[in-house]
Amino acid sequence: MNFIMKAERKSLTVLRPLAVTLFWLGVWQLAFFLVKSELLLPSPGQTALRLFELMQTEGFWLKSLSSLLRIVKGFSLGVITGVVLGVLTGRFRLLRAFVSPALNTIKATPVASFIILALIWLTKDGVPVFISFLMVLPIIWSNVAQGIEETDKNLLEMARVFNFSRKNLALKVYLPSVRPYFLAGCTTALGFAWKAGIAAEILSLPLKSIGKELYNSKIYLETTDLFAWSVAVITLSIILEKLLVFLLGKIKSK
Amino acid sequence: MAIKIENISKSYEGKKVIYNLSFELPEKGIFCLLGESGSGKTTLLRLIAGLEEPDSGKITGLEDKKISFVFQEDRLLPGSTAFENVALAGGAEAAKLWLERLEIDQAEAQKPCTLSGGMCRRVALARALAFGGDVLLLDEPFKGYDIELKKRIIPYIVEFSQNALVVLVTHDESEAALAGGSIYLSKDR
Repeated sequence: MNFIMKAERKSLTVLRPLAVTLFWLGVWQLAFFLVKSELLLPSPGQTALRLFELMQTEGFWLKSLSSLLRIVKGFSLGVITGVVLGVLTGRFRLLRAFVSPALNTIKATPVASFIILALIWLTKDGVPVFISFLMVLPIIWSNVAQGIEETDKNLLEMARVFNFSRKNLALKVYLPSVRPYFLAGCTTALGFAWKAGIAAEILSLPLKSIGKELYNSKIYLETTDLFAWSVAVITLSIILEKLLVFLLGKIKSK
Repeated sequence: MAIKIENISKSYEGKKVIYNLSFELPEKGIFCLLGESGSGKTTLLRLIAGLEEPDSGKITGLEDKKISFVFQEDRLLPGSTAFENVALAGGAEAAKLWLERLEIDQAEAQKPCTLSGGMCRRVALARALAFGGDVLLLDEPFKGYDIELKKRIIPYIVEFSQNALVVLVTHDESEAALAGGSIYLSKDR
């Protein structure tokens, strides 16, 4: 009985996402039939075919990898800086008073403003890295600082009474408190890094980039290419997020 | 040098918890703090531990004294095992000794969330004893113990008090009977 229930549950976990995917592909196909123009809306089949064609070329992989590296670079820099700033501002309130307005301003400013500014300041390749970094920094910073602030005051007092070393205080008291905030911040920030990084590529047009391909598809009205590259971006984003969740899960279980 | 509590007062948000309290604590032995809930027993322990400052008055004789504490709450690190919780305060050797003496060594690899309330209390007591010191502050340390277990554990506290001062907060008269001296804190101020 138990075995049957388990098998049923397993098949449901496979079948449900498949059914949802098929439903939305059906809606897309239906919309294509109604619009009747590949220029305005290519069908799922046309998009898949074009993506398949692109995947046969070396350029597709080179451009995808270049974009991926830029965004990972910006994301990593944002995480490192965010953690350092988060720790410092979480511990020193005065520093927080100085840093908060700057990072809150970054959070509230439209990303396009930063991209345009970065176009003036930086090289084509540097713009997406910088923009991804800017998107990640305030998220990681605020999450880490919050994790430090939310550390159980009773445990901090206990550590003080029992003369915990700085290392033990950091590893045994602060780290477990900060960890869930940091992990949540990382997954949120990664999504932002992707979206903003690709948007920055569209405006800065690095030689080998997904953003440049998206821009070209707009210029030459190649809507099928736009869809195919967008599917590639979404797929890469999902893979990267799954990889991050896997790696963070490893940290979590330690 | 004896610990002197001189005219101390403490208020929280305008509410007087301790008012103009003076007494002397011996250097060694068990001293009991009695009184109903809200009479300021825990506050007094916190003042002795130096975790809070009195609004007025002073506590002298604590300079250079090592103070250990069993808080009213267990305050165990949730991500660490019972052994780690004790060893972080008193080292591995002392942790092993006290976990064994307090009959909690069989659960030393377990995290606090898997222990019963009474077991967590014993880990907290083991941590304070393993840390050692000149003054041991115990805020209702035997909560959740059964009578037989308490009978087996109390001699260790008595033994500890031969070389240190143990300040015990309790509502239990049999525990208070162990004390060489005591003070009753009243809510009426």
